[in-house]
Amino acid sequence: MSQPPATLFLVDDDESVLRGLGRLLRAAGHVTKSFSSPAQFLAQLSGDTPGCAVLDLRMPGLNGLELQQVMASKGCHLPVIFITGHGDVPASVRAMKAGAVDFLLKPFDEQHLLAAIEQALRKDAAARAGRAERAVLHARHAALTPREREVCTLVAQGLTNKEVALRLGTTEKTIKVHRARVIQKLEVDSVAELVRFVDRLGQG
Amino acid sequence: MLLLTPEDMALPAMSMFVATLRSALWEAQDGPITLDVESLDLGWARGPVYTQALHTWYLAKYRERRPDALIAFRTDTIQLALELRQELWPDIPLIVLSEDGQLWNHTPRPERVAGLWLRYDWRATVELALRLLPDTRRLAFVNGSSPWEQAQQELLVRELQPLLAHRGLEFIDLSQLPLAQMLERARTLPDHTAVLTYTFMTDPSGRPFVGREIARMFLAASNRPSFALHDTVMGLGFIGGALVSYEAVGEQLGQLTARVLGGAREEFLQPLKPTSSDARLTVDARALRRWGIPRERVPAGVRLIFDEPTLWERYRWWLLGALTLSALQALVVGGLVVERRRRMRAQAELAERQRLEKLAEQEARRTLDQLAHMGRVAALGELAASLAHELNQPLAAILSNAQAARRLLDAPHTELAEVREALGDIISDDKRAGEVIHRMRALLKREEPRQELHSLNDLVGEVASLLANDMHLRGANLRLSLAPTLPGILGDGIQLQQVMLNLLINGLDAMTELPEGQRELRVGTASPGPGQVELSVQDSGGGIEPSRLARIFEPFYSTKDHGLGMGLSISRSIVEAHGGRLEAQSPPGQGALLRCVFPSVDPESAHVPTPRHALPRGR
Repeated sequence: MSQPPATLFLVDDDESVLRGLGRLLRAAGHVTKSFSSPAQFLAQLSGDTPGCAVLDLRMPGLNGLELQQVMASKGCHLPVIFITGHGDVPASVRAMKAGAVDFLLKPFDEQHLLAAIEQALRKDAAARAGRAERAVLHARHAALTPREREVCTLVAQGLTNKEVALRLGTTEKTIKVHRARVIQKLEVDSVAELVRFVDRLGQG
Repeated sequence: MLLLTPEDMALPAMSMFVATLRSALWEAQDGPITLDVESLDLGWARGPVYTQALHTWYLAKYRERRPDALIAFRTDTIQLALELRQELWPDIPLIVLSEDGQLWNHTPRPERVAGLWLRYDWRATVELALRLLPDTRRLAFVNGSSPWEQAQQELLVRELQPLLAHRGLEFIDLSQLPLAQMLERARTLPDHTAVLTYTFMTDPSGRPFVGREIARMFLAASNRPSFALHDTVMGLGFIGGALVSYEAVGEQLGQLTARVLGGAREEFLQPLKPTSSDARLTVDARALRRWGIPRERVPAGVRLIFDEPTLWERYRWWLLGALTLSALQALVVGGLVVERRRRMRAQAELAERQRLEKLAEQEARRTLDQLAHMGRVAALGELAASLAHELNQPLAAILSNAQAARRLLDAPHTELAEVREALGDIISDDKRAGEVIHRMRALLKREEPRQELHSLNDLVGEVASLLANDMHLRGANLRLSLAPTLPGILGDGIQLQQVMLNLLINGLDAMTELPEGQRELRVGTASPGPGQVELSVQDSGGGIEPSRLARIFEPFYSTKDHGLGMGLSISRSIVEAHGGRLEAQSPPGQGALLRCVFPSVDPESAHVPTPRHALPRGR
């Protein structure tokens, strides 16, 4: 599956800062999209582009922190870097608590910005890979019958075949058959791997 | 016109010099001129770092404001002026007032420089002292310790050496002493000493002084008669000297400047002419009496000031004649004299009272100006976060663009168009930052108040844009409703803007308790009646309690936790100084309403057209 290139979404109501920022990041080899208002940005937000967002903290209408919340509520997982010309401590604490990658004071040096962006892109890629993997696991899990799912859950909890049979009111032999199907459908090799699978599924 | 002066404008000599220079220029130009005065404070601060900083600062300040001519006073200032001119406007004329007549005798004279030579005549002053006090055997010399004052002292010693040697005078140098020690020595000077004072700008510890104040302290301490060189200190108790009149010097320099501006090229070629006010020998008659120096010793041609002849001197012949006529007549005459003395005393008292009243009025005016300045500094302090933000925006854009441009140039296929755009943005952002500093600087500047015609709407617009970001940060909306046409208002623009800034910040402060969406500040201008213009500021806060309404203009009364209680009282003083009135109302349920009504200028003809103001940007 070929991924679209990572895109940096820049939102700042100061046109001049926005232009300079875009120019710098493009010169550093990034793909950028610039928006001069939060509303514009939200309107164009497409589901699953990899990348990160660089948001100004103080904007009329919706400030950066509020925008961060709206993004999260819309299922947008882009990592956020805040930039601000007026750094106050409470705002930066709130931003970092809400999961921002970094909080840069204007004027910021390219090194800091580019380092923050690298970090954000790595974070995005890792999160994206995690989500993709979990999607595969979910698909496999969905292929199990209801009875197989019950067996899967109990086996993963560490119960022996006999205990599972007792719990589900059936014979050990039937459970063995179900278990073999589960292992086959989930594409794992052993009970140990099955336990790990259920673990990872649970994290989603 | 840009004038560079070496010292604080508060020094009496400086302010007198500048005031007469200004009026001479005005007269010669037949109309108002703009004279920017920059005081370099060279007596109090100097060194390469300071000079460099001045240089950088003026480059920034005057990049966009080209003066018609540059005027500089004193050799050290002239040097700096030459460097600045070289860099900024190499083609404008420089008019100098130098205390060194030999300034360009050893080095080539720069182009387009005209000037005058201000001579301090130490020799004539000492000669006058020796005439008045013939048994003088010692000459004590008092002078400050700044580098310029020290350089002047070297000149003085060189010039006086022959005279001192010829008359066998001992030279006592008090100029290297810290103030306290200098005053101590002044109390215990040996007999037969005459004191020559020059300036008191700094003592050896580098403490800066205002010369006139130190002169007063020195005269109170000194046990010997003292002489001076500046007409600004006469009347304090100095006996006299060859006085430089800064009034005359300012006027001559103003006339010279006007001639140069009028195209008189020959002034650039002539050697520095001495000012005609040189060595005006003057003696204070009251000081003569105090030291018991007979009037007969005052040489002919010396101007006698504060000379009030005694009754005996004035009516001597008449009285003698009357006495010889008859005793009765003498009695009548005596009665007349008593009557006259009584009337004169009454007149003198009246004159003295009037003088004191005038002084008090001037003092009050000065205090108001100082308070106004302090108020502006305080108001800008409240805006500090906002101003930092205003500056950081363009700085961020500049840095990003500059670093982008560097990257673009390092790239294998350089896109010159993109680099050019980046540089264009850098330039416009730099100007934007400069504007912010310029606006701030204009408000902080401490100048003599000016009387100029202003558009109230323009003043409001500038203040609103200065405050725009603060409004935004505080979640408040500003609604401007400006009258489309408005008569002009005469006054000091900066002081008027201070009033506006104050009222707007007060309004903002009054709304902090409200939820963000409800903070609204309404600022309006109108012409409520013929010959009047009005500014109104209404907030949407809780209003002012009726009991407090009467007190808010009192000094040190504040409804704010951290308020000084000076803002409104200063504002009212400023408004009243402009012939207007400032009132507060609190309409029920509508927040506080502050109204300033000013007299307008000629409502029939002087309609100042008003450009519509765009609402301030969102940040």
